[in-house]
Amino acid sequence: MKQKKPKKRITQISLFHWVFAGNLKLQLILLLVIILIVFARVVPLEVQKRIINDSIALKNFDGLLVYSAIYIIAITAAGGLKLAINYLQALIGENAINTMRKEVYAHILSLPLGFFRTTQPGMVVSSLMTELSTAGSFAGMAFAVPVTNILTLLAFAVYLLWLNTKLATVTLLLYPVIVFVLPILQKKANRANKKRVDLSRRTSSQIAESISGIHEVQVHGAFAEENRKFGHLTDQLKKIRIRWSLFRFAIKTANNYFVGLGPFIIFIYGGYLIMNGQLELGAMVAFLSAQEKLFDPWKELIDFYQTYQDASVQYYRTMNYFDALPEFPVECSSAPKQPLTGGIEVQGLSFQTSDGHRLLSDITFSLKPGEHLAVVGFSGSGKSTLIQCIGKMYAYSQGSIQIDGVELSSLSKQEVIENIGYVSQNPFIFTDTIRENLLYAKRATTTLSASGDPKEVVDLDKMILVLQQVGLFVDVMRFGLESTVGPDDTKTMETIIRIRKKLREKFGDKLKKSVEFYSRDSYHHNSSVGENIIFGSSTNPNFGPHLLPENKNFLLFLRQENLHLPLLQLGETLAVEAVDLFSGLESMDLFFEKSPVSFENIKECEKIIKGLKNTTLDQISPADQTLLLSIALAFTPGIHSMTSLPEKLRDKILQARMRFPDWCNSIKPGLFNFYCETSYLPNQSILNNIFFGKIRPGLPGAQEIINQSITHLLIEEDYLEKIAKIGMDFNVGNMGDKLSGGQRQKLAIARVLLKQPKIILMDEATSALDNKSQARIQKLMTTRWKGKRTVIAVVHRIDIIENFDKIAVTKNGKFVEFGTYQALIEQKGALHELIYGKQ
Amino acid sequence: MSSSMESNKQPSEMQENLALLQELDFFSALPLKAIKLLAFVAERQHFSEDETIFEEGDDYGRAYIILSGELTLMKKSGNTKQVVQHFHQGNLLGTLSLLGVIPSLFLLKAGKKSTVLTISREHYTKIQEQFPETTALSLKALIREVYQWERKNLTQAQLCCLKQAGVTIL
Repeated sequence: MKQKKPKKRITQISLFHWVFAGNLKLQLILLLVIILIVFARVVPLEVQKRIINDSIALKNFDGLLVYSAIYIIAITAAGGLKLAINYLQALIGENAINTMRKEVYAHILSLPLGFFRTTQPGMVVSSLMTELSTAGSFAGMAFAVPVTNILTLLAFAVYLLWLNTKLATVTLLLYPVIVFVLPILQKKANRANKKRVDLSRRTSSQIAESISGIHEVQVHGAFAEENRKFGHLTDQLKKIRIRWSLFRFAIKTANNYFVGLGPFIIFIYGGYLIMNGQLELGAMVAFLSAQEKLFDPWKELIDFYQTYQDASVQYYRTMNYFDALPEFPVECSSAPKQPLTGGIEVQGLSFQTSDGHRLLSDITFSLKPGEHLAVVGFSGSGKSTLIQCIGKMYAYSQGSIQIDGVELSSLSKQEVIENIGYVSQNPFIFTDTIRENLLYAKRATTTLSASGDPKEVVDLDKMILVLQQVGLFVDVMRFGLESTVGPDDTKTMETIIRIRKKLREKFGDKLKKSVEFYSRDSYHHNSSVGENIIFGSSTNPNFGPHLLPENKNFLLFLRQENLHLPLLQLGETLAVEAVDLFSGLESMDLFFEKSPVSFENIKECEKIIKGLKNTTLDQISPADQTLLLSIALAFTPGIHSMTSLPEKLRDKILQARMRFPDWCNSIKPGLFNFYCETSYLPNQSILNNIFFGKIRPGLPGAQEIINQSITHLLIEEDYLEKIAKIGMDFNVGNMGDKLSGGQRQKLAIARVLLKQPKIILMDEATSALDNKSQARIQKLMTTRWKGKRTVIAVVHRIDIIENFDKIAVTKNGKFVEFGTYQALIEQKGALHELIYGKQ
Repeated sequence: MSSSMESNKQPSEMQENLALLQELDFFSALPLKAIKLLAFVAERQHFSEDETIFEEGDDYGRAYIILSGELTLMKKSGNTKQVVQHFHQGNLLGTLSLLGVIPSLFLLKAGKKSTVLTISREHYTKIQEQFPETTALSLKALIREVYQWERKNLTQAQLCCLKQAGVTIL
């Protein structure tokens, strides 16, 4: 049987591979177009000669017309064909970049974790997005440019030799001289370019490091130090870029100079030949024209040569950097798989880092399927490394790890992914919805399996179940309840109004303290001044809350109600407070949540306040008035603590609210929908709609009563799942920054649970959870996982280890104790010391 | 200044908070702008009688200033809970948790219906980022408090309890 040749690593593939790989058809079409263009470029030369010699000299007007027509057709065709070549080149280039990026990216993702300890994300980004793009562009032109230009040059050369061998030989002798000089300069340029690529990478890494550690930079005020490091690199980069550019320009200038000598030779030597009757005047014109035309293909060839050199340097530099082997093959094996039961047997396990640091030393233990092991010990004692080895994230140096009697190294990565779930202390949450994050691990198992359909939909009930198990369901419900309903979803609106009615009947009194209900007769402290005046929402976008401060009709209403000036005064007060608090500070989203003045408006407010020292509020510009008014209308006394709402103004607002509907009708009936207990409040969250009001802030204990009441009613209306579904579409923000640390950990546990692995590895996976959530996970482990799923948990809180079947205490990469909790406590050794301290 | 400020006689919540913070040793030495920002972000919370504020083991990450009512610190002992200390109006607790993660060794609940002013670690960290000198000043204040705390304890403690003393020489 023939042995299959091992597949070449992507990083070992030659740059020229990309020229034809997947583009063969396009390259053949390109070749055809190139032949046509070469023909179309030579024709005008011969036509020029004939126009002068056959038509002008012999006064043949018909001939002149025919030759001129051929000339125009030829140059038009050449133009059109050049466009076609550029298009095909771009197409091939983009294909090559696309495939190259995809394949290199897939390769990078599979590289050993150790590789990423020394590689900054910024470096990977610049390699994939910048350095490879030059190689891709080169792949696009690698065939077309040399073939087109060499053929054109050859065609011109043959034509010139045919016209006059002597003159052609002398003229063409210039080119070998150029071919000798240029590579010398190019070698120097390449050396500079290699240095430039390396320095660019170091600079990218430096930027990535500073930005990733921006908290440390700002906390320690290390601005000067960071600027020094960055400045040093960019200064070096500047120097090397100047050197590189200098050589590149030198190549171009040398080339232009040599080519410029061409006409000089033609005038001197061609003129001599004409005077001696050895050359016709028409032929000399053709020579001059051809000489000029020779310049373009030659210039393109030189440019191509430079692009090749640059691309080659960047391509091989990139590929060499990433030329490492994945520790474990990711692809699925064709061998039939047995479902694992989760028994773990570890014998003499040791792990040593590449720099010789021993993190694990001779660890031996075994767990039956479904047994739970807690690993405790001092930090740096190798706890995390142990479970990362069992999770096949690192290849161990010595010893053996067997799962169900099979050595871990002989299990495919796919089997490991399917059967082992790993939750880290700081889980990475992707910038997407809760649903997508939840399905992340489960999807990966279906994508990797041979018959897997990555789009396989996981049952909503299953997702809800795991969310409940980890205690994230309440949060997801809250996200759902804080969403808004689309204007066409009348069914949901009707249901919500029904729920609202029931809530008032059943829980109205109970919720009075926690919820500020809407009432037409009283001021709503948790709504803005604008909302308090309108007490409804507009049906016309021109009357939307953001446009109202500049709406002439609305301003007229405010003046009628004597509210305009008091509101401008309120806006001024708020602007003064905001400037006092925030001027000179950087944007802090966390603080601006409590301010009606946004960060972007602080500078504008500063200007207005300065101006107000010399003028009065009614004399400032309309734009400034609009800004102050918009600040006042956004002011919400229940949230914005920087000033209080004067009683007189509050009464005036309430009076204006009473007259607002009549005024609206006088403008245009139906312009606003007013809050009414029997109708839906558009643009407000589902929660506000259910309450017909808003939750009062500062009542941490009220949340549970609210959750219970709402869940009760949603179940009654069979609407719980619908809200959960909306909640799962909540976008968790940039890398999950809209979630708390606890929510991130719960989501990470939930995503592992969804794939139902037989072995669960937890690396301080519940460290950010509060007591209640911690207890919930403990309960889940004891009631649902015991005997069914094997658990190895690195635990930081010693008070939760009592329920584990086995406890291991680590010290300096070794197990110093291993046994049941009771036995180890009675032994009064290391565990006893960890719990009760040294006696 | 315009008439709006004059007509607005009622002090704002932020002004009240500022006055409170300036009276507390832990905050009073901070730059005025930092205290103002803390007064601005401080949150009033209301607890009903017997409501748990945080449990043992929770990383509560907040400082509490009692505005009214009474908070009770408790310690679990088997199935029962023992009262450690009562805190009253004007007392400040939890400053240590503003400076870093610290799982609570106690349980805190409202002994009576209470209102507190709280500052979260999240906000305090942001203030430290904006005003780096705050970190050193907070540490100074904390050292002073720990010192006073132990000095007070030493004068009150009986000989048998001296074994547990010595936090200031850690």
